[in-house]
Parts: sequence; C-alpha cells; structure tokens
Amino acid sequence: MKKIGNLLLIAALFLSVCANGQNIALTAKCSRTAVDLNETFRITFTTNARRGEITPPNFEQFIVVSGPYQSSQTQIINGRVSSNRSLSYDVVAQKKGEFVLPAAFIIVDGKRIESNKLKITVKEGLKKKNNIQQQAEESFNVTILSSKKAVYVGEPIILKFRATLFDPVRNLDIIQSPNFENVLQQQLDSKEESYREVVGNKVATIYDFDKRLILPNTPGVLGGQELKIRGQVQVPTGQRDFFNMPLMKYVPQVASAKIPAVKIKPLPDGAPSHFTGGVGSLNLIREISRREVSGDESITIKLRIEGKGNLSTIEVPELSNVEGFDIYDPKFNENIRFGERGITGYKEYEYLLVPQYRGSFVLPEIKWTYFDLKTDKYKTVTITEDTLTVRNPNLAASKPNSNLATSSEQESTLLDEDIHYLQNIDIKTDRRGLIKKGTLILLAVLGLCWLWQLAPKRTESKGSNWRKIKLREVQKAFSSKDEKRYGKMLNALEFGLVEKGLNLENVTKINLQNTYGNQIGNEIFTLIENCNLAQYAPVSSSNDDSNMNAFIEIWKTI
Amino acid sequence: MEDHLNTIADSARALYDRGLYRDALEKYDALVQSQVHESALYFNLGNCYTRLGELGEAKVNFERALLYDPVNESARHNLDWVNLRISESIQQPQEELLHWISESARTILQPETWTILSCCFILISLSLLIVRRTKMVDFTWRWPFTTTVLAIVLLIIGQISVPKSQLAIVIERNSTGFSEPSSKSNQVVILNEGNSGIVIQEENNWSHIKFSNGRVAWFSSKDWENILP
Repeated sequence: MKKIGNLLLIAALFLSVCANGQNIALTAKCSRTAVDLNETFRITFTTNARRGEITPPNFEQFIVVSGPYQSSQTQIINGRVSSNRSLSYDVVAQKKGEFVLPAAFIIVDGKRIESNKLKITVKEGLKKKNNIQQQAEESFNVTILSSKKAVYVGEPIILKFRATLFDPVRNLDIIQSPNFENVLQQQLDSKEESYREVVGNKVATIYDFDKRLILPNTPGVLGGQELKIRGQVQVPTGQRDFFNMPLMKYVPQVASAKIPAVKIKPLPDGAPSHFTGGVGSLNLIREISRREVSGDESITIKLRIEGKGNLSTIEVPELSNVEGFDIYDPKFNENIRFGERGITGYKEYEYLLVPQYRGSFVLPEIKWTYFDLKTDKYKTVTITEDTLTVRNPNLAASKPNSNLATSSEQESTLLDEDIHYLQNIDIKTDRRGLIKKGTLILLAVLGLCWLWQLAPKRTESKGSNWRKIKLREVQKAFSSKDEKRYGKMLNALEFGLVEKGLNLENVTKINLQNTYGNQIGNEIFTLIENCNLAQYAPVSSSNDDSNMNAFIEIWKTI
Repeated sequence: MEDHLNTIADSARALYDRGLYRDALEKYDALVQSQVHESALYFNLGNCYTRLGELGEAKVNFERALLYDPVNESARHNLDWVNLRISESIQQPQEELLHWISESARTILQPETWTILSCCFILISLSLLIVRRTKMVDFTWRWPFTTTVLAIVLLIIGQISVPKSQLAIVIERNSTGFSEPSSKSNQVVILNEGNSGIVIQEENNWSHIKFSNGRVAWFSSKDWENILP
C-alpha cells in the first residue's frame, strides 16, 4: 500500500514537471468564421496552461447568448502528458459586416500570453439551412408595433413589443433592448398579454411583452438598435422512440425586430414668441385664492398647465413680479400619468404673495402658446390682467414705481432685520418624574400624619411623662445605691406636691391629710421624714427597699 | 448627559450661523427627541423653519415656545412676524378661562417650581403635625391645617400650570377639510398654511378640527401639527 502511494506521488510530480515543461499557448477558435445574421455560433479559447484565468476579449460587436462554458482535459499518449482548458461562449452578431474579435489573454507566472484575433464575417442569407434549422427559425418571430406612422416632435408614440409563437418555445428572454435615439421613453405599466390568433395558415400564440411611450425630440426617422430575443425552440430530431413517436429536442434560437419606420416631423414654422415647446391638447390656468385682502393675510396664486400632451418636457410659465407684494419661492406640484392614450395630468407652481403695501395692484396678463395636435396649428392661451386689492390699514400706502428690491432680496433683508436671533437653551435634566413621585409620597405621608392627629389620645394625664421619668430616676438611683438617692426621691415628691400647690419645705402633716386623705397623707409625711433622715445618716438596704416600695405606692396615688 | 446635549445645542447654533438651517434644525430636533422641552429650544426651531420658509412649522414652534414660557418676548415678536406673512382665513380660536389661568400661573413660576413650593409646605405641615403630636400637645391644629391647605393650593396651581393645548396648525401649503373622515366625502373648506383650530377628535390619520366660528371639518392629520408635542 505504501509503495502504491509513493508511485502515485512520483507520477503526479512527473506529470506536473512535464506540463510545466511545455510551451504555454492560448488559442481562439470560432465554430464558423462566416455567419448569418441572428445565427448562434461558438467562440472557444483554449490553453495548455494549468494555472491562470483566461480573460476573454470585449464582445463589443456580438451578443453573448449563453456561456461561459468551461472544460479541461488531460491526456497521456505514449507516455506523453498533455492537458488543456477551454472557455466557450455562444454568441450572435448584432449587424452585418466584417469584424475582428480582439485577443483574449492569460497571465501565467507574471507573463501575459495573448490569443490570436478572430476575423468573423456576418452576412444575411449566408447560411444554408437544413430542415431543422429552417423549422427552428420559423417557430417564432418578434415585431415592434407603432401606434403612429408619422408624428410631430413632442407628440407621443406607443410602441408594443410582440412575439408570435408558432411552435412551443420556452425561456424567452430579451438579449438586446432597442435603444431609441433622440427620444424620451417611458415604460408603461401593462400586464403581459397572450392570446391565440391565425397568422397566415397557422394558429399562433401572440405574446405582447412590453409597451413603451416614446416622445421624440428631434425631427427625422425613429432609429436605434434593433430588439433581439432568444428562446429555446422545440424541433424534431429525426429519430423515433420505442413507441414510434418522433423524438423532439430544444435548440436555441434568436429573433430580432427592427425599429418601426416612424417619421418625426418638425413643428411648423412661425411659432409665436410665447411658444415654449408644448405639444398636445393643453391649457394654462391661473387660480387666485382671493382678490382682496383686508387683514394680515396673503394671496395664493396657482399657475397650472393641464391636459394631454408632452407635459413631462415642458415648463410652467413663471409669475412675473407683482408690485406691492413679496412673492415667495413657488411650491411645485405635478401629477403626470403615462398611459396608452398618451401623457395626461397637470403640473403647477403655487405662489404665495404677501402684501407689503396698501392699495390696488395689477396682476399682469399672461400669454402662453402650444402646438395643438387637433388642428395642427399653434394656439395661444391668454389670461387677462387682474387686480389685487390690499386694505390692511397697518400697511403703508403703495408707492408707484418705487425702487423696491427684488422679492428674494427684500425677504432676506426682512428676515435679517426683523426676527430675533437664537436664544440660549438652559438644558436641564428632566426632573418632572422625580418631583411628581416625591410629591405623591409626601402627600401620602401628610395624609397619614393627619389621620394620626385624629387618632384618640391615650388616657394618661398630661403629666404622665415626667412622672415616669422621675420614677425611673429614683428607681435607678436606688438600684445603683447612689448617695443622692434620697435627695432624688425628695425632689420627685416635691414635683408631686407642687402639682397640688404644696411646698415641700413648709408642708405639714395636716396639709397632706387635707390634700390626700389621712392615710396617704400620713404615709407621704413619714416618707418625707425618712428621706430627710436618710440624707444625714446611713440606711440599711432593707430600709431602702421599704422606702422605695412606699414611694412607688405613694407615687401611684399622687 | 447634559454636557452632551449642550454640545448638540452649540453645534446647532454654529450651523445656524453658517446658514445651514436644515442641519441646525436636525440638531435641535435631536434635543427635542432627548426630552428637552425648553421655550428657547422651540424658539430656535421656529427660527430655523422661518429661515427655510416653512412658516406653518415656524408658527407651531413659536406657539410652543410661548406655551412653555408665556413671557418669552422674542417668541412673541417672531410669532407676530410669521403671522404677518401667512394668510389666516379663519381667526385663531380663543382659549378658555382655565387656559388663561394656566398661562398666568406659568407667567409667575414654572410648573415644576410650583410643585417644589408645594412640597416645601407639605414638609412644614408634617413637621408641625409631628411636633404637635409628640412634644407640644397644646399646639393648635390651625397652623398645620393652614400650611396643608397652602400646600394643596400650590399643588393645584402647579397642575393647572402644566402646558395643555388642543390647538393645531396647518403646516402644509393647503389643507382640505372634508365633511367625513374620507377624501371621498364633501369638501367643506380649504385652509392655507398657518391656519389653526382645536383638535376635538383623532381617528385613523384624520383629525376633527373645530374653528373659532363653530364650524368643524375633518382634515388629514399629516397636514396639521399639534401645538403640544
């Protein structure tokens, strides 16, 4: 196995060395050097180089119908190895004559190798056709139908591209569109139509596949390159199958149609000075929004060309300067429809006139001429002069023949003088959401606070807080055996007595009995005496406890 | 963020100074998209539209500038300038009493300031109520009640002063009014750029507009722009 591998490797190296050792060449061949018009023929470029791309020449005079097709082969004859690659194109000639196809080239290892040039003669009726070729040629044709035989410059023509199919044809494709010279053309929106019709003695399928509106702009004859379409045509092979039915095959076929001979006549001499090229059945209209203004109002004037004709190529006349008004740049509106009936619709300028002075001002007469196709004569549309009146008392009276600046100059001057300049923007972060949330929270808290106010108060007397504080102070002092614990107890008792209008320093037993009753009064008096005594003499802890208990009992009562 | 927006505003002003009004307009529009709603911003937008000759849009923006700051004298001046150059066939609808109060409130303080003031009074009320409940039981309830009422009044003024407007303005050269929200219905009126009306209903790209003379008509919404963005 390993040996076989080594042998194959050596053979491959040997083949490559042999191939590289050859002289590299690029040749161009043509299946026929003399061809018929519309005949498909093949051009092949072949090279023995194993590397590099074959670059074909520019098929300027020919149309590539199909391709490129690539193929490559390697041969070993008597130990000699040769290989070649080829690139092929099926082409068809565009017109009659002798043509030289430029050289193709290939670049190998930085070296440019060129092919030979091909001389091709194109003649009509040159090819001797066999039955199959004859049948293929007759299987379909293409024509361009014109709506008119003679038109004036600017008069639209409708061209219809029609294929007539006598036999089954597939893959119909336009390979060369007609490029009409000196015209404006517009493809019309139309559905592809097909129907059956008897043409000669045969039933054919008529297939209208394109419609164009042509607007010629120079006199002469409609010209340009012809239309070419290709298709796969079904023809018999001359053989029969197992059931004795004729075998069929599809072969490529090209059909062409010449540009129809349409005479384009110049417009008659003697066109008036107002003629600007309009041809058809047209009209010029001037619409004025109001003829009299009283306040700070403006006037809108529309100048419109409408009707049927070469609307796409003509200009709407401009509104001449109207004294006493500022005229803003016009707004342009148009609605043009291209159809089989020609070009219809309108185009207009809409002017805004802003009064500058008070008074009456003349809107000048407008004359506009077009060539009327119905009468074959020039027709002039005249719009008579009109008067515009401004009654705004805030405006100055009109100044006849004043040296007013042009409207645009005046406008820019007013803009510069009158509107105030930009302001500084104080950019702040948008806090509205935050403020809103904060406010809602605060409102909720405020509401709760008010509810809290309305809630019932505890039954404790208003002095309950300080009573608790004093009791806590005394208890703390006694639990920590503070030296001043009896002083604090006395102090607390003093606060309690003051509540009842009694003074600790000169309180008597009788006063206490009168205020708190005999028992409580005696207990308070005893406790005061104990406290006074304990401040100057040591007291046992058991006495502390009994005094503290007595204090708590009294404290609850008073 | 604010630095970035300030940079946009500066570049817009530079473009405006160089006469590149469309570019300046785009910059200012970017600020509006960033939720900046300042009177000066709408004023500058109005200036750009004026320079471009789009007076309907200019009017909309000067009106907005006045909506956010009724004392913006420059906006008032430029709006008058624009009004002088557009043809209003229908008088601008008069605003209702509430709108007048709202504008008067905005003349004194901005809506946010009213709300912040109200918050201050709420805090004062809270403090008084807490003190009254905890420390000073004899403290009268009349003081916190007064501050609470003041807080609520200020809050209401703040809410009223938030700009509200149903006014809309024609921004196209012409806008055709129909009897129904369909272009196949009868044409009622044709209005020029700059005319205004109150939007009473919007439906499928149609706006039902009411005018100062009481008449109503349906217009294509794309021809009109609401004052309140």
